[in-house]
Amino acid sequence: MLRFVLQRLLATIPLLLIVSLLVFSLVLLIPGDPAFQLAGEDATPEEVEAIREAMGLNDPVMVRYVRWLGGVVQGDLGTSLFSDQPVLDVLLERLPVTLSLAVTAILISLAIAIPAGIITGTRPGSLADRVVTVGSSVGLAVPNFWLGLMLVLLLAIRHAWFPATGYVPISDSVSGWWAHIVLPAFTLGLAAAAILTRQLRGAMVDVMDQDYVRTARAKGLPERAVTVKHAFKNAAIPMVTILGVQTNSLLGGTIIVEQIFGMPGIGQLAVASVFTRDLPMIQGVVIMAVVVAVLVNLLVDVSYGYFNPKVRPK
Amino acid sequence: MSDVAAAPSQSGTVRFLRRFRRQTLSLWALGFLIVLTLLAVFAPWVAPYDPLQQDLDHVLEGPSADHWFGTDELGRDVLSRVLFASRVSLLAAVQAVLIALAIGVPPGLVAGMWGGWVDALIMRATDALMSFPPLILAVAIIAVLGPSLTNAMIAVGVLLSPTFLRLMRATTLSVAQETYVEAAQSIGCTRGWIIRKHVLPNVVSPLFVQISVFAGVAMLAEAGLSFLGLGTQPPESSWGAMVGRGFRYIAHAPSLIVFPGLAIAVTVLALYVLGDGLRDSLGRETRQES
Repeated sequence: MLRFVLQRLLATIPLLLIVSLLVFSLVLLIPGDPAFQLAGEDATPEEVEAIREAMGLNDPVMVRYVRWLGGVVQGDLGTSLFSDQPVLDVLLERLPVTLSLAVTAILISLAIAIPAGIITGTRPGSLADRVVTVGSSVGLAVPNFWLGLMLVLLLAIRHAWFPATGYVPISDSVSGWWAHIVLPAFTLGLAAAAILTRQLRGAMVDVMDQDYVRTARAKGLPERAVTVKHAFKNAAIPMVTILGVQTNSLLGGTIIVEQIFGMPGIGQLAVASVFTRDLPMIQGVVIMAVVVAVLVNLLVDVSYGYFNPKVRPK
Repeated sequence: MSDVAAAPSQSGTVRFLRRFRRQTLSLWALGFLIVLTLLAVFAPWVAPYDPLQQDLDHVLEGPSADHWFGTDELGRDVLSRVLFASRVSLLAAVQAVLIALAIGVPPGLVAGMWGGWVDALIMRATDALMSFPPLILAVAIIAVLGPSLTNAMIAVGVLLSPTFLRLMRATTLSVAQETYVEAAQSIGCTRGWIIRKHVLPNVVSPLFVQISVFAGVAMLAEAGLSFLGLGTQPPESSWGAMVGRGFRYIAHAPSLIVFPGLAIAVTVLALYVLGDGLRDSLGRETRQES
């Protein structure tokens, strides 16, 4: 198992290299003189020169890339053009907010999708099935920022059941954290829940037709055990793949959700950095996001082995 | 990705239309989209008010007989603004999908047709592109190019392109293995001719399914980016930008965000339903591809 994990880790290195090249190239995409553009319209020549110096723009591209990559590998993501703080420090300070939001969103989406997928998948064509299918289409089409605003309007403004904005670290107060995270996490997780439900429903319908399910029934297992132990565990395998893909878009979705609920996470930082033209910070955000996404997908691959012994490496 | 149906003949199209006619829900969705497009095109004649006309005596009002969707912070008619904003939202979605097609289709064809190291290189780059959390990549591209609707749609187009690329590559690969392509090659037909004559006809239908779904995805992405202030810039307004501005008045005039938000949700739903209907109307073999 350890060898499998190591192999997968090694396989991500070329991918991360291409990603680093793409992230680095962002600077090259800036129309005109990057130092001039990043400094803003009313910058003095000295300020422009300072940015040129800070970002090392006077050197050839390849030299800059290698130097930048060398720094990134050692955890040096550069310095914010806006606050002069090391980019990595700012990111690490905000990462717990975004991660707790994303993880809670995934858990909520699973808590919706697993029962919904099992119920509809074992009773295709039933009323529950049709209601859930329509519901999941709607869940996919509703923009998440709009859903978030509606929840704020109904549950935080009309009825003060939840705080409308802000974030409380889980280490300060578990109940405070929960109250602040529920609405944003639900907002973020609903689209993933819709996709996962569809996926699980389809897989359950297929699996319930399999011989081993018939065998399990024939030997007199209660229907509940057949569904959960035999059918669900097999139907969950494709769902794990989708979960990996969904985690990726969930991470992107935090940008919008953090903005609505005033959460001081990485997504909020990303938007603020666009307006301050803080390119090193943006590059840091992208790299951090990709690293998290790659790690999640690695976890997904490894968890295949748990769900499906057939793919376990010999 | 297995084999694909042979090039659609006349009867294929007829079969497709006959199947599609039975998809009641998709027909409704198509009808809605046609009406919406007409409303957008004829907005100046349909809208009850000038979308820019201010009326400071009637600001932030709820729905009424005079103003069906209420008024905004400057007393402008929200219904008229939603109608005019539909032009921006619809055009933005079309723009993003066209950009995605332009970026994704040619390299997909090349990768599928040429194979070898060209294919490997293109696919590795695609994998890298797909490993970015989508919205974060879009924000990064906008950070570099500057916030504007066109730049936002370029970013969304880049995000959507890998799926088109993979679809093109998979179809091209499967067609390239067919005996009739081998026959064409053996009598000296060029790759360009084979692409035009055999590959493109086969890819059109799955591509249409994907276009319909991606128009919805692009519309959601545009709405999200404009909501953040990274897409449509004032004085232009899209549905997402309307929700973004209405955010400030959420406690006083919820209709400012309710109606443009509903417009996005219903339109995106219609595009998804249409996509589902198109997919179900394709031949069984092609259906498994998309």
